[in-house]
Amino acid sequence: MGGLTTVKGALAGTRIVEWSSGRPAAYAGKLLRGLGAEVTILEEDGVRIGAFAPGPVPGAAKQFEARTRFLHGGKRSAAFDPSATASRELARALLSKADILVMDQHLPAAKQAGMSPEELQKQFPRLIIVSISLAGPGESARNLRYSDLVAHAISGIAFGTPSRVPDIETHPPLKPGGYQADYSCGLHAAIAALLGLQLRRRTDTGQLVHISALEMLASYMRIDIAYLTYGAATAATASGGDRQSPTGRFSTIWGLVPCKDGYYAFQASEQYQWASLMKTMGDPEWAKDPRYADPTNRTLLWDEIEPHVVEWSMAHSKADIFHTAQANHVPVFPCYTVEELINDRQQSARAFFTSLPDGEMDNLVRVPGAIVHLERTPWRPSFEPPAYGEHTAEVTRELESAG
Amino acid sequence: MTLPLEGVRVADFSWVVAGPFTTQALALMGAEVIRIESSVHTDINRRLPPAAEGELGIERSGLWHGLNLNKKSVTLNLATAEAQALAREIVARCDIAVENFSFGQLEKFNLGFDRLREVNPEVIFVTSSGLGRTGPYREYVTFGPPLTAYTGLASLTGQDGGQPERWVGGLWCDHQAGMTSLFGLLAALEHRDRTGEGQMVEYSMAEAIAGQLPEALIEFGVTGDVPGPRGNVDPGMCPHGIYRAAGNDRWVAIAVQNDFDWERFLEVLGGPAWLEDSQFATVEGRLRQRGEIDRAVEAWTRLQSPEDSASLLQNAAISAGPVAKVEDLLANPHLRAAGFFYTQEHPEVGARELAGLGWNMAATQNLPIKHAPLLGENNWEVFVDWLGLPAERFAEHVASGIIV
Repeated sequence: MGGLTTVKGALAGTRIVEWSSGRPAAYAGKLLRGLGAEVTILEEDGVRIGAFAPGPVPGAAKQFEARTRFLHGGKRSAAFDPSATASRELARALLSKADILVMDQHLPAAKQAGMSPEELQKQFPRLIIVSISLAGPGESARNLRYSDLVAHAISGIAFGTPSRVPDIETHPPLKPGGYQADYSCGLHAAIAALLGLQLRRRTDTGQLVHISALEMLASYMRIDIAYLTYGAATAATASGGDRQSPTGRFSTIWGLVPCKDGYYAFQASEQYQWASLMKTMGDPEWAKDPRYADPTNRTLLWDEIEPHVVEWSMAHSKADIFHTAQANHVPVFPCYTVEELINDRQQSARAFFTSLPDGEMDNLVRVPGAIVHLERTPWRPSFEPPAYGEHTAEVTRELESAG
Repeated sequence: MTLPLEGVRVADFSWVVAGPFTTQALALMGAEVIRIESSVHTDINRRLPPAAEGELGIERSGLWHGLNLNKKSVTLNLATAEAQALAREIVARCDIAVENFSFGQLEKFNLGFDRLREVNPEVIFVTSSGLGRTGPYREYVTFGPPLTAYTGLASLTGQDGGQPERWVGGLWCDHQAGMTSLFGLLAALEHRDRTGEGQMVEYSMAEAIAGQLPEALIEFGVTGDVPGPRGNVDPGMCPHGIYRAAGNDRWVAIAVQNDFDWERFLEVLGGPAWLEDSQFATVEGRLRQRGEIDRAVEAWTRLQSPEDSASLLQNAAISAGPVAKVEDLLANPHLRAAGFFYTQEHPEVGARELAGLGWNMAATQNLPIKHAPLLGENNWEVFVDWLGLPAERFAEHVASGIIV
């Protein structure tokens, strides 16, 4: 499908092997590739379609191609068959020259192939190995099968996501939209790889780093966890714990509010923010009720307050509310669809979204660009993915010539 | 045991959640992080719940403690020129400076990147805001939760076909932004170590979130249809959902990820017989009758605890797990075995468990944990012992409200 593009960056000259079975390791590889590393996928036949195909949906083939461009652009692909001795030898030769291995294999399968992270650590002591799994390498955890949905479920994110549900029996806990666990695991794996390089610089040895999706997502639940360990709440009223509470939170007032053309969100944690929000609303009479003076009371009385706020909001568009409230220094944002987001003036000005280079799609497909901007060594996206096994011979030749 | 960032020094001007989450990770990984605070305008998180036993106080917030372990705290009134000079002296001795004030605030304190680069040409300067440091909305103010709405994530999160969800668990926006910052910062540190060159690292919280939505953007670009909330449904997998289990508000998540999974799933389920029809052997066939299949799955999951269902399915190599509430995390055997929770011994609130980080390596097992610093706890150590400020001068600065 295309050749390589050379991207110099903070990791120029760093060699990375990606043994991916899904988005997590593929995204880690993409992030590291954007920093200028050379990323070679140990690619098993059929894995790519299993991992990136969107299912039987309109435009499935084009969506698959675009996803592949997004995740595998700029990498090399070496065909890999873990059941074949020669293929495993090629993989080991590749790892012997690599700095970092990122993998998201089911750990029992990796062990069966003789390539468990622990075995590889013994064989390649200078290699930084980052292994992504559902719940880590512990005896009772390593067999657990990963998925984005289950990662959100076991870590508390799903239970904490829906709030103000009218009936807990008919409104299940929710995973966030998209594949947040997959991508966040990938981001953490890229971070772990960079930490591994720091550690190797200090110790001259590699390191095995485990990214457990459970731990990674539970680390985002730190505030909810602190509600319990600080004795400040029962589990039923802990932040995110009460799925039927008026605001979804009991510590601060904020909400997603309907307006003339959709929804907007606000947060008024500080007294001056509430005052500014009221100013935006024209200092209405109802807001002068002394019971609303205290922020905690306002949260508890949100069921009573909300109709007043909605009445005002329904006469205004989300864009008007966004800009007027922000002019008064209130954290207010419109609830955007992805279409509205890519057409937003701020995003256009920052050129965050970029078009996939594909004439057939007439550049209609926009995808995220650099999530972080490095002044001297910019993170650069690549969108030309390798065909399956395209670089097997090239990798073999390189290894032979390197001895 | 050597830690990954031993010897790295960080001047931490950050506040609220995203920035302190980044710098706490640096501190736990061995960096010396000096939090530059003010007792006049304290970080809002020092005043927010959860407070130990519900008693509010600037040293009692579990929110603040959970984001500031292993750091040092100094207090400066940055509105004064003398305090600004001391802050610049700190940065001159640091590898990294991190800030997430509103746009232009640090410049007003004469601590913008240009000034800091003058005193330390190799410094890595990490700066962030809700919508970024450039563009027409660069001065817009932000908190993470409402920003979720702007990023498109809220529009994709909600019950299937329902309205956008008002909250994404785990204070998603802030934590995700904090880790995005850490990624960029570590990349810059790698470059600095190789070349001696510092640089600015800039990111927008909104882009950190929207950066993880490529599938929705691709779907829109290819089909022209604007995706909305899908609940727990996946357009390429079936069954794929969160199903009611025995007990009050108990649920189990199940993801049958391919047709091989389905074969094993049927064996565990043990019926009803109609599910064995060949039309369901492929995901296309199953998705056509997703509703009926989900009802059959739930008829099975409702008979047992989520732990029992998940265990049966995981034994058959099918991804499944009980839906955890917060209290379940504290009892989770995998988290306990991994040493995920840190215990701080805090002078005011005593021993408290706090959440750890999202990676685990031998080098960071049994980390030494120092309590989140008291406000200004390290003033003497940093200004006198480290910067060499004479003791009399230190006392004058305290008396005149420069060190506050």
